[in-house]
Amino acid sequence: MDRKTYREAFDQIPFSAGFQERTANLLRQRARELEKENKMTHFSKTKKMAVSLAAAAALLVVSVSAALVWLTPSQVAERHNQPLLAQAFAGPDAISIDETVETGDFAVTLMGLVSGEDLDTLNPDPGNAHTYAVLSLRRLDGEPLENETFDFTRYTMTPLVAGYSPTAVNNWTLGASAHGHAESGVYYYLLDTESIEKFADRTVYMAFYEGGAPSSSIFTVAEDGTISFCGDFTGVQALFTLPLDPAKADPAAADAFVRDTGLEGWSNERTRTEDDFDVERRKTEDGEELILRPRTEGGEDLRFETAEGFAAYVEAEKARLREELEAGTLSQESYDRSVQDLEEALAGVEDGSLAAAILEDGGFFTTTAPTEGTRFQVEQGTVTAAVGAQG
Amino acid sequence: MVSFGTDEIISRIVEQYSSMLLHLAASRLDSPADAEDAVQEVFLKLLTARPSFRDAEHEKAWLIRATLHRASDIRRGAEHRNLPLEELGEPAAREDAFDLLSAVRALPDKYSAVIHLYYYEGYSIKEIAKTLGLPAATVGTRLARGRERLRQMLKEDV
Repeated sequence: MDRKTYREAFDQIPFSAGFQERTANLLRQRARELEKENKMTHFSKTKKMAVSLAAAAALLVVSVSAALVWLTPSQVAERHNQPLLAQAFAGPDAISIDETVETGDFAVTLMGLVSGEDLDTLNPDPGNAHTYAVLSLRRLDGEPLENETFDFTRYTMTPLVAGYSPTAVNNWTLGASAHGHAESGVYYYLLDTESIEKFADRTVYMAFYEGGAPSSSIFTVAEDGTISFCGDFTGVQALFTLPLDPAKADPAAADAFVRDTGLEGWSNERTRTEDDFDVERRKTEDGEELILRPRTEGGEDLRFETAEGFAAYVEAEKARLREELEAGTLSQESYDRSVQDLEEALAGVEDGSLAAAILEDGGFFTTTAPTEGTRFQVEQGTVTAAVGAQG
Repeated sequence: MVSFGTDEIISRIVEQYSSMLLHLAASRLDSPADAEDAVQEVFLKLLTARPSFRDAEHEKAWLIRATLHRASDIRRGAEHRNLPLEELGEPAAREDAFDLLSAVRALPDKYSAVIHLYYYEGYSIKEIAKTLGLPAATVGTRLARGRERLRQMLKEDV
């Protein structure tokens, strides 16, 4: 199968001709309704404020020290136009947590969570329970966090479950989505994930940290299954234990979920999964040596580059990106990030911690060394990493 | 930050992403109407949730992920309602059972998303990894396994 065949098959799907126009009209109509709702909300708030001025005067002394006002989880849901969810956060099934961890430059507060079906106005499927959690973030130096400058994607907020691999139960496998917004200098995360109540007979965590998908360079799992951050993980990190009701657990569904991910395995070793490497054992005078070759899966006929070869590619790519930038087809931010990616990859290839191959489409593929301290060797387009003698 | 709401932005988003997202949803859903519903709901969610996007790439990644989730939800919802197989569009119930589209839809979610982004959108492994928030090696593995499953399904039938 090639891309042309695939595209032709999908291009034959008969979508309705007026889809774009119909959809744009629907969205414009909804946008106008939202604008009207927002104006009405603002008006009613103004009225209420006038009525309660006398009461507020009595609280002036308090308000000086409480200048930084936090939203409640219910208000955060309101800000995302989720009235049903806002009600649920204010209702009896919501779990208030309000625990704070100071980490790096931030105070991270897990405010609360609630689980239930049909709480998202756009997710009316029966039988699909979700869990929603609200977390707030403020800078310890008092500087306000702003939508325009806060790098939302630099951090991950994800559930994890003791006894299951962090690669098996997390945002990605749970189909989660996170929304963020700043208000009064505080940044709020609203996480929407498949319900985590099925895991409630185990220790269930909510992790917030700097980085992407969970890996053994971020988390370590103890023999009893408890999860913690690696001692040498230096990024922003907070791990909260969730007080879920064990009576709501569904161990069979939890096991089935984890099995279905196909990602049950976990090793605290800084090694890659077996999927990533072909392993060859060689007898040596001292015993046995393992040779690991990054697999060339994905159908890519990967030819790994020497540091010199990859440096030439990086230079050519940078020149191409510069042309795109100057032609206006690439934003400055995308250009900067792409160049940074290239330079980081080149640094890794040069010190042997990464192996890089150039793909058919002009992109590049990198893989990291299988263990800490292991260095790749590239020879005639293939790459190996000798892990060491195994007596 | 990219926001969503004015007429111009609505026009841009719908024009720019409709085709991509419709085909992506159709990699999970047999019915073009279901795929259209999924994409409309994702756009509506974008309008009401107003997530903050760092740049256009972040915006696109959000839309791709939201569409995959929504399409999976619709598919699961149909399964929960115990619809007859022919309404679910199971490959075994269709005359063109094991054609390419049916085979892709028969793949587990984790394989079909990678397969579709690679073959239809022409994304590299690295781009897919960034978009889906997965390690590049995992994407490579899923692509290889998804391709192998497709090969078997198509070979067995053709």
